[in-house]
Amino acid sequence: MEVYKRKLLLESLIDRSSGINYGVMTGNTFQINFFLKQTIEDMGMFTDVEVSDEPISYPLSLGGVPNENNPLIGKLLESGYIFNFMYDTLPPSTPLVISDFYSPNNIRISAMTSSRLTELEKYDATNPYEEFFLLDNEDYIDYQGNSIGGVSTVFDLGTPNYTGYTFDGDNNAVLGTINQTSGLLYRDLGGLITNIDDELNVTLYAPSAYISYIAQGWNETNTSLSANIKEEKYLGVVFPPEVESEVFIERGITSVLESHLRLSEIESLGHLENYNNGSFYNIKKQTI
Amino acid sequence: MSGTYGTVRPADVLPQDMEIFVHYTPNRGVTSNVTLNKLDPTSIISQSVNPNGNGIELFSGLYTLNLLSNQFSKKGYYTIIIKPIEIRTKIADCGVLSTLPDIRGLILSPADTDSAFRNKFENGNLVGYRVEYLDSDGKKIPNFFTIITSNNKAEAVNQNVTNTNQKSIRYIFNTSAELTFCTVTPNSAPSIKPNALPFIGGSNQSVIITNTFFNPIMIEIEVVEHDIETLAWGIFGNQTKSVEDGIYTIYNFNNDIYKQFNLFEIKDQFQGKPLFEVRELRTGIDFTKQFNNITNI
Repeated sequence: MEVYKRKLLLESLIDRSSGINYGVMTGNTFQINFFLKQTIEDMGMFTDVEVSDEPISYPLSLGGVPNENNPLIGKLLESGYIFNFMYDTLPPSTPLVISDFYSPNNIRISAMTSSRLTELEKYDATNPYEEFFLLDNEDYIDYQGNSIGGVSTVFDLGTPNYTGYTFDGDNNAVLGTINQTSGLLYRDLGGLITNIDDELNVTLYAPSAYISYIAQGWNETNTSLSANIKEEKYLGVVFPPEVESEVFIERGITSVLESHLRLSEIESLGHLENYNNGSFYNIKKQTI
Repeated sequence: MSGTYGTVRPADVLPQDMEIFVHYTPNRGVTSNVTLNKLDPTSIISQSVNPNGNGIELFSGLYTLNLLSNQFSKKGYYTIIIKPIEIRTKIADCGVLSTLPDIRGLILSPADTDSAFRNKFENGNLVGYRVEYLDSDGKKIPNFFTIITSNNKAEAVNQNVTNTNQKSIRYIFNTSAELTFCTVTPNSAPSIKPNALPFIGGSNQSVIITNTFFNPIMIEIEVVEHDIETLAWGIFGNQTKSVEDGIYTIYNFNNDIYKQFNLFEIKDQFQGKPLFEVRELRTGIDFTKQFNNITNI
């Protein structure tokens, strides 16, 4: 616990002006500033458990009388314990509705990104792009359950370096305009966007574009209603264990069949020599 | 990238989640028991507006204690404790989940809690709270606490125990339920004694639940009549001595009368020989001795 020490002067609140209040404490308040901190710790992962939003099977009380058919109430009465909740002193709880969690904010997001125009190329070497040529045409249901006649097409080739195109946009009168609410809207800028490749340690340049779309927030397609509980074994574990399927577990010398089993993976004599970088099978040339 | 992160943050706890206690003693030599009085944090704690924000966002961490002068008017030592508020309730039951029988928890009821805290029993609102336990005599069990790691509304079901015809109470989560199922830590069996479970509380046991929104602090306030400033008035401030009536006046740096004294001599009544020179604090102030009045003559 932190301890602050402060000194307050009574004189600071005493009136020293001439008059009847001289020497009287007329100030109301001493003010002391202090700073509060919170020491935090990450509890780690939580576990989803199925939650029901059905009416409860056996209410705790019926008409203000403990409901003995409720297993807990029956057990408590049997043990001689009395609680307020057995008499239903609380107003009925309001069940949560899953839609309470949804927050589609319907804000248009615009950002700079790399061009995807090449994904809309036709098989035509001289004229690869054509306005309203539907490279993809698929009806789908959006996150709100609306039916969308989705198309992926170029809608504006008229302006050089300002090509407009869309992916999964609804094929209607507002396709390609700022009023398009479905799918992704692109405008190529003709400039270059940089992308630093950490692995190759080089800077890559790609044709740049503006992407524009309506944000969907949390909705039925990316949320689920479940109770979060904490399993103690995961206390402080902040991500689930990852399965590395490529890790080979060496079973040691007790596994006498190991070498024979691995032979099934060998396809040629060269492969046998090079297997596991030549460290597994000890090939000795026979000298005559 | 250092791969490290800090774990201390400025708290943004609301005053209603705090408790404030105060103890007064006139001096350090007092040996009587410490008695604590409770202050209302919502009326004496205020927060500042964050200048980076939109005018309503509060500045994290910085709080102001507004101590009323009628409560802190005595010279002496005031010890102020600011700590998370206590929620007192009873454990309705202890049990396990129906779907995960190895998950143990406490079943609490908002109906057995002060109505001001009932919203804390909504799903997830008690996560991070600390549970401390009282014994049957009402004494707090020292050095024993658990931390709530999750809480969800739950209802009891009577369920078959595996491979037998025996039934026992298990809990399922239900958003319509009134009770809340809290998992706490520690609750796992130690590996060397797999059958020995840590005690996490029993049915009908009284518990104290406190938030961990901030680290408690103590403020010791020494209320004094004099400090360096008032001494400086006496040494460096303006002074006047009225020769005719012997009124000696000391002024503060605003030239207000701070102290006033009568100066006089006590003489031998027969020979008139001076015996003492006296400086006596005046109780009634002679306001004709205002510094500006005198110096503007």
